[in-house]
Amino acid sequence: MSHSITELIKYMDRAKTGKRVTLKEWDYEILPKTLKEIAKKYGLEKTCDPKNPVNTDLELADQFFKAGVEAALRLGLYNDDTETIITVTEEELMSSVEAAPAELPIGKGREQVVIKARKPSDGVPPIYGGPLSIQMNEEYYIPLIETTLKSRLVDVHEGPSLDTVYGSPLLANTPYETAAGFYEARLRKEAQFRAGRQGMGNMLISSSSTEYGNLAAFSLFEQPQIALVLIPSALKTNYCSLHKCIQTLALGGYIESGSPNMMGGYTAGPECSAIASIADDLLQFSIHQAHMSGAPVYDLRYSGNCGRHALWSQTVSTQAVARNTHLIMLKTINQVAGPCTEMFYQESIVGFVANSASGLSYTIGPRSAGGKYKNHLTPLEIWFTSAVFKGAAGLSLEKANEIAKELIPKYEHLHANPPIGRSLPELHDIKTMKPIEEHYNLYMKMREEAKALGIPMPADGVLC
Amino acid sequence: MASYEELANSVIRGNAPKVIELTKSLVESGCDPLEIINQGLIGGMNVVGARFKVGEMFVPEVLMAARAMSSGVEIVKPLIAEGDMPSAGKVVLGTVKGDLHDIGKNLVAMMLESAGFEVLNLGVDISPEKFAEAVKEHQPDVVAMSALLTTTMLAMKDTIDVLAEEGLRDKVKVIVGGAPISEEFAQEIGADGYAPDAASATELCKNLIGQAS
Ligand code: B1M
Repeated sequence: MSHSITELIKYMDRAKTGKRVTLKEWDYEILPKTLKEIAKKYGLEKTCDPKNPVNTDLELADQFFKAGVEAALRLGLYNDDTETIITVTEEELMSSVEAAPAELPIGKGREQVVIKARKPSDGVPPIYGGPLSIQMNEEYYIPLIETTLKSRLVDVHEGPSLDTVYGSPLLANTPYETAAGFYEARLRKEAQFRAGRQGMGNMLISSSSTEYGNLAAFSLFEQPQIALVLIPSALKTNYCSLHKCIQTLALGGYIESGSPNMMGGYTAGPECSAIASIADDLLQFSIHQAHMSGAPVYDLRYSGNCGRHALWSQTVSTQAVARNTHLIMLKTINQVAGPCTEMFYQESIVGFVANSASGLSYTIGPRSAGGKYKNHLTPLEIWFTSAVFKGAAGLSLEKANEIAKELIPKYEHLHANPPIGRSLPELHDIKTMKPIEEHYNLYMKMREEAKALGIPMPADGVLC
Repeated sequence: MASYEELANSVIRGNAPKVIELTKSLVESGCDPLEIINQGLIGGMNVVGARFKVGEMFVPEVLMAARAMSSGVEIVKPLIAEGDMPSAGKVVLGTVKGDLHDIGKNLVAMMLESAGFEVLNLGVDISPEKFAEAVKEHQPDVVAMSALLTTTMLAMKDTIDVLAEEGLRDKVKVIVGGAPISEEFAQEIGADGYAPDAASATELCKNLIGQAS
């Protein structure tokens, strides 16, 4: 049975009786050693080929899938709060994957879109949600979103996030988070109304990471909406995540759950991180009763995934799950360069083409300037990334690899010290939201460059 | 007879049983315990730190190396007079209240340990009171706080305030780091230093402890 609170409670009960291990044992011993053993058993060690950053060997992807299934069964999810492991049986894992939806309609009336499971080189365009939860001043929220949503390239609404509520600092894990849940939900509705997009689907909620914000935001929207359940880290869960899952199921929403696998961190190199990412994807459908999973791979060295190793790891794991299941996957594509820089556009072309061609169903983006700098987000980066993601539907993996090989050398030397670009008020007149000429010209030039690389670029409907 | 180079290589490979065997053999053959630590054990760890920095080694391998090094240190420690035991200093480290991001903080811990610091890693979501308790209990040289969210970075100031209220502020140096933190922010909240990454956090601790002594 899929998506039921009783099933979820069954796994929660298991947290009480599961094997007790310390966080250190899990992070330093159990997780890395198990992944390493599995990589060896399936002959996957040193299969990453950084010269070909997009994997094109689909048999290899299938082999990774088998390894990912074994990792899911041997590892399970570690519950941070009980310090126990929640494991699943093969029957439970497979039946939850079988029962997971291949299509999820979201939004009402003419705003409805259907998020669909895809295969590598699928001709059906993937769904784009945006913008990502990047911190913004309160006063920019409505102008940014009203303008952004004027383009139909954005199917689902997620960010940005706020760090103040009615001018007061939003402090994590305090009642400010509940206030932020309601407040952001109201701002969303206002901005969607102004853009003529009432009824569009939402990913909730950007400004709060806790169950308080989740509940507050869900109470203000007609269901189904998508809950953002970011687990503590790869192959872990905690009570906050489980709270959010229960709330969402009870209210009739969809659960998106998972966490980045940090390549170079506990999940080690690109091969083990790919195995962990597949296991993470699979386990969300049983233990969290998820409707879609979200287990991207980031490179710890620069917290992004548009460089060779992380891109390879993310493409092989996405292909593995896309080919062997009908699961809906959301993975983020993380740039490190900021708005109005050529590097941002180059990273975006590489990342969004590779993931679209690998069979990714859904993304939220962009993570301009690594998501680290306040107000470093403008509508142009959002539209560009969506156009590339959708335009790349149907491209072959070989073509995606060719594009990556051409563009990555232009920016990889800047990963450690990327240009952070400029902020919204520096690049747009906030009253009219008109972009400055340099910003507009770069956007148009990079659209042409993307077309010249063979990516059909859908129009944004606002500037072109 | 085993050599320091062999010992360092076993540390680099994270082979704890071999490190124990070689350390014992060096001790038995009369080598200076301090040299065993400095040239063999810490020597190996320095290579690990450098390889990690350039992306040639990953966190699990670094941790295995650190464990291997510790198993060697345990053998030689009783042979060294307490005051002579090389320790760069003691650091209490944690991610601040409300914040669960632990990867950067753990990297800082690893780099500090590899450089010979004793690190008390308190974990994530650490309240100002817990930091203060740890200072009372462990009397560290440095309190190091990590925050990745704009909604939690203010907890760094709360922690500094609680340390001051408890009369502990003058007894420790306070350093801060994490993606949204800057030098200006560190100054604004009254921290002693800011480090943009794990390697510079180690340098910063060395400098601050050097100044203090
Ligand atoms: C004491 O001295 C020092 C000195 C140096 C120190 C130091 C201390 N601490 C760190 N350093 C420094 O040294 C390290 C390298 O040498 C560096 O450490 P870093 O930690 O920066 O780098 C690590 C090695 C690798 N980097 C990371 O580990 C962070 C990567 C990003 C993508 C990230 C991750 C992975 C996660 N996240 Co979070 N996450 C993001 C991050 C985006 C980014 N670009 O940073 C950020 C930080 N997250 C963000 C958000 C919003 C959130 N996250 C959340 C959750 C998560 C995950 C659980 C999914 C996961 C954390 C996993 C974990 N166990 O740590 C939520 C908060 C949860 C919570 N209560 O803490 C949530 C609120 C999302 C939500 N709506 O639920 C954003 C913060 C925005 C802001 N300015 O406040 C963010 C920038 C993403 C974005 N918008 O693009 C330096 O900063």
